[in-house]
Amino acid sequence: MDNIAPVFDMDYARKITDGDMEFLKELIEIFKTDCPEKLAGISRAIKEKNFKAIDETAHSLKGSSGNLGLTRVYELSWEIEKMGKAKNMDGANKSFEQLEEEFERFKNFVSKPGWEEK
Amino acid sequence: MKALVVEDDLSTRLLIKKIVENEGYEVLEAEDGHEGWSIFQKEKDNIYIALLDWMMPKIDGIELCRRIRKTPVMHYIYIMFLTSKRDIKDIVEGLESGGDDYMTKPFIREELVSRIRVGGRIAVLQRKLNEANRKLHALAITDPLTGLLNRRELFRRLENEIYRASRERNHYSLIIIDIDYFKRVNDALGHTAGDRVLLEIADRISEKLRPYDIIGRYGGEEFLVGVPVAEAESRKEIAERIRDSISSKPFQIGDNKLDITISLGITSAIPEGEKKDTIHLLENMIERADSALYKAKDAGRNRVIVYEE
Repeated sequence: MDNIAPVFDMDYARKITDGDMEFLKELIEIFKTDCPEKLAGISRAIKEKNFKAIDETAHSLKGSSGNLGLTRVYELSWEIEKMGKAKNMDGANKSFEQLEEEFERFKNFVSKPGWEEK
Repeated sequence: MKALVVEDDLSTRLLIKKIVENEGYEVLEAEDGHEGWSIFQKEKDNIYIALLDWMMPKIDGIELCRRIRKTPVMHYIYIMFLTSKRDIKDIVEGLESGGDDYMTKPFIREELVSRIRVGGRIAVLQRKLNEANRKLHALAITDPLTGLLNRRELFRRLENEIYRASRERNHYSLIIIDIDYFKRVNDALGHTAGDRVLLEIADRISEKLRPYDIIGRYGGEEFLVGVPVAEAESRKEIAERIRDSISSKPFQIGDNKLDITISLGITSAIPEGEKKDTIHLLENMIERADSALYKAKDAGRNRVIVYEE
């Protein structure tokens, strides 16, 4: 899948925090801390083929990623949430792998010094 | 003014909290519907706006909204859902459960801010409306000159009290008070002086009553007092105290010192009847008190007469 959407929509993130970079960084730290647990929840739900849990865990990640401008994570968790809702797991593992990759790319992005000046 | 923000995701909650704080609210945070509900119950009198996430563990946003709406609160609480649901069906369900507005996540900051301001405007309007209603209600039940209950409200409350006494098998007493030779005051000193006398009489009588007694203006120079009584004797004491409060001290009206007296008729009964009969019970009691008052006038005024069969 092509990565059309940016890994991190800085414009959106700046707007939502009203340009308060310190606050944005704080939110990102929280997200970085919470995300692995959410990913583990999705992974477990997929393994157990628990559709309700897939729906709920992906929905939760969708919410937090969307509001911080993590466009790719948002879209992939939405895809997985829809699979849970439709009780159709086709491609769930692949989407989940991409989700993990996108989270790693985001972590890399915000670990580079000066990312916030871009 | 406080705002309640209920959202299970920490980063989203902090984000919303900051935006709402910028709008001048003190924010109460809850991470699920259960916590939101317990905070609401403690703080409901201070919360003017609530932002509720839709999907949450334990109690979801819809259920929390329903509970908030079922809770009696003096002011209006503006409720906004934050949801990633976009189905018309879901939106309708949210608004039908008592929500005023909803925002889909991820949201645009400016839009959320504007919508919070809409909520704030409605909260202010509602508060003004409630204040105006309270004032109108006070005006609607009050006699403008004396500040006592007007005749309609007086009757309504007396009916309630009589019905209560009938249910509880208690005595209830009614006292009619008429100012002696009031026309002379008006004729000699004018209506303004007459009004001042009426006002002072109302104040003096009110001072002699207990919080659960009822007093209202019955006619031009007549007052009705309703008194729940435990013993048959005490009702005459109350009436005597009222009589004494008027006759014992002259009225200073401008440069004039006036000696004023009142006559009182009392009746007492254990009322018996259905709710629908209460108005007749009241009318009968008034008739009896009135005939006792007539006797008091006949007997030379400035006295209390208890009605006897």
